[in-house]
Amino acid sequence: MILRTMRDIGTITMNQLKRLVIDPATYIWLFTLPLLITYVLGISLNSLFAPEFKPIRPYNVGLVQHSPIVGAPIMERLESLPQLFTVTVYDDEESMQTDLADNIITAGVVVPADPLVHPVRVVSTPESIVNQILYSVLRPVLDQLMIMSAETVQFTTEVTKTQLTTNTRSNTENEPKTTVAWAQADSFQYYSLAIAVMFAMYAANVAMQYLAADFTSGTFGRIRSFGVTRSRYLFAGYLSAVIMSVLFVTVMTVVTKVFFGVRWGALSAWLPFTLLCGFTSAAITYFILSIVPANPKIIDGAGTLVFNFIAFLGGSTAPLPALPQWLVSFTTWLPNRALLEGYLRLSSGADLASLSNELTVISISLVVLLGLSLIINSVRPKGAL
Amino acid sequence: MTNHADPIVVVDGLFKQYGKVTAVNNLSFIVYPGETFGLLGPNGAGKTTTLGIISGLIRPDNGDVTVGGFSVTKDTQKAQRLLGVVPQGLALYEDLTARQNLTYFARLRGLHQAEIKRQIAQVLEITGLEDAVDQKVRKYSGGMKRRLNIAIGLLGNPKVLLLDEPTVGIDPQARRHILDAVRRLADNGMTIIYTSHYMEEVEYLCERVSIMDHGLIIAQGPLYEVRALAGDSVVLRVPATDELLNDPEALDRLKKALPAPLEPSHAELRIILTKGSEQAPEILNILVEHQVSLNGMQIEAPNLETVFLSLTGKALRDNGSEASAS
Repeated sequence: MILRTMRDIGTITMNQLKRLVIDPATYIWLFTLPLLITYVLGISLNSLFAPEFKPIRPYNVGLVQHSPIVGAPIMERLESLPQLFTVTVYDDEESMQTDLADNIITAGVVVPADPLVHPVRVVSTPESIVNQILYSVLRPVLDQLMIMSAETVQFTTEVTKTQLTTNTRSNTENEPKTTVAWAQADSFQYYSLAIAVMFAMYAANVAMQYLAADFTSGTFGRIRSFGVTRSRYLFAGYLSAVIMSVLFVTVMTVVTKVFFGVRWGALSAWLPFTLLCGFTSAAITYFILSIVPANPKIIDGAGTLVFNFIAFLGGSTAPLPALPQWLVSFTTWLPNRALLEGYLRLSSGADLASLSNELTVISISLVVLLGLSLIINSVRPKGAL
Repeated sequence: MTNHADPIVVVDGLFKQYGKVTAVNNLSFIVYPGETFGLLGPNGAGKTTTLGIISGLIRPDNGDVTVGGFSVTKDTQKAQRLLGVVPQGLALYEDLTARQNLTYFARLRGLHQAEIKRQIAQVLEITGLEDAVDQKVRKYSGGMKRRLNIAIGLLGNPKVLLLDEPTVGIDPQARRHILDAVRRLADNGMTIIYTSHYMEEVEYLCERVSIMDHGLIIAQGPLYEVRALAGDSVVLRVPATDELLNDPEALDRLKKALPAPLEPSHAELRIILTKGSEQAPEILNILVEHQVSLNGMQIEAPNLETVFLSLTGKALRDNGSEASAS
């Protein structure tokens, strides 16, 4: 029975992949197009990622300094960058928070009375551009002070406007994860990863369209008349979507590495993460298959709609730091965003163990999507199939 | 045909409903080994649903089918091993060659490599596709695709072949090819259940027949017995203009005037003369009164279509339509 099941799954999966591989459209839509998009976005948005990036208007930054020893060099540093910052000094944090809530200032820096005990806090939208610029600008100043004092000077960023909690965390734990990757990414680096994540979903979707075509043509009925169960067939379809997705990311990795010099991290971390990317991308499209009629055109249309939407929210089209804060906070649960952030962190040298947040989001999404799909498929009317 | 062997297919009291629509209603028949059994009926009669249930793809609401003694609802896979299914749609991959299609389905049938080779050669010979086996199916004509569809159904040497409208949408020459291939299979002793809404196909191939309408069997038995149900009836076929066929009021007036059932069909009117050809003069007079041209009219001997017309008062085929969605 197990052998029969494996034989059926293997035969169906191989047939799906063979058909995908011999289809010239696969090479155009799944390989040429993403590389072309990466190239175009890489060229046209390079300035956004360049070190000399400056905003249209300088950011209004508030400063509360209870310790002149630390406050003075911070003030000096901020004022040395007039193209980036306009500094407003506040006597107390409350007034600064009020102005922040009223959008009079974009971010604030709070220097505590005893910076050796309490951290200097940047109060801003997490992962916003201003947050990241402040981080990159102030980090060297604080590091310098740390060396001078030989004590731990902590640096933290806080959620602002809607949630004004004050956590004290260590330096390494508190580094805004996107900032690190963002700070190290150029446009080709960023978009190679972002487009790979986006099109991994399309690759899985194309495989799923082949599966859906069997439902409409009656081929699925014929296959079932050979004693192949519905679950075996669907599993084989899912597997071919996973393989297609992994294959796509692999090609993107190799080509972008060779042509654009993109970093994808260590192979030992990249490989399991890419497998996870394949399983997740296939799960998204499998979920779509389970809620819409099994028709390749509908699967294609629904997939395009969903992928474009979540790819935007997940940072594959507009860079994450360029999105509004509320949107960025709202989309932390998106599996494709977690995949992109994971790849960004891998590319900046992180290992798999340090991706706990991303892996948690991806794993939960995977389980939820597959679970829901199985439940829906088990209760869905099977009609004449 | 008289057959004293145990039946190989027993259809017993099948009932299947989709929502409020009854697709199959208390359907029963048996098929003997080596027999070619016809299921004849118009689109929507329930033929495809019946084949779907026999092949284990559709679960009946009531009743059961046994194939070679195995229940399709309880021992589905054992029953399926005895069946070859040729669905109405072209269940094949047009982006692959015929050989790749056959190999794929043969693997799913569980055949081993040597057996796959042998059986592919065999089914290609039966369907006459040897010369085109390495061509992509996309390049095949409609008739060749239909033949490949049948070839796939023959893989695994099934005891019973289910053919669901295998000639839909193809030209007469290709149709003849397919009918001859099916005939050869029947001559070699294969049991065949053949559905069609073409009465001439069923008459050509089948020894026994069930005529279905709205999920019910309205006539069943050996071909000659079913034909006899038409009694003295003959069919008067009168060519009709598009103008008349597209004028429901004129047709309605004609129907009311005629003392016999009238069925407008593709480019003609069919009138069942239930009392035989002696009824013809009276009918012809009425037609002339209604300014229907009698040029090219003819009287047909009773056939399955006459039976269907006389039992249901309507034609087997939809007017001018070859679409099939039963």
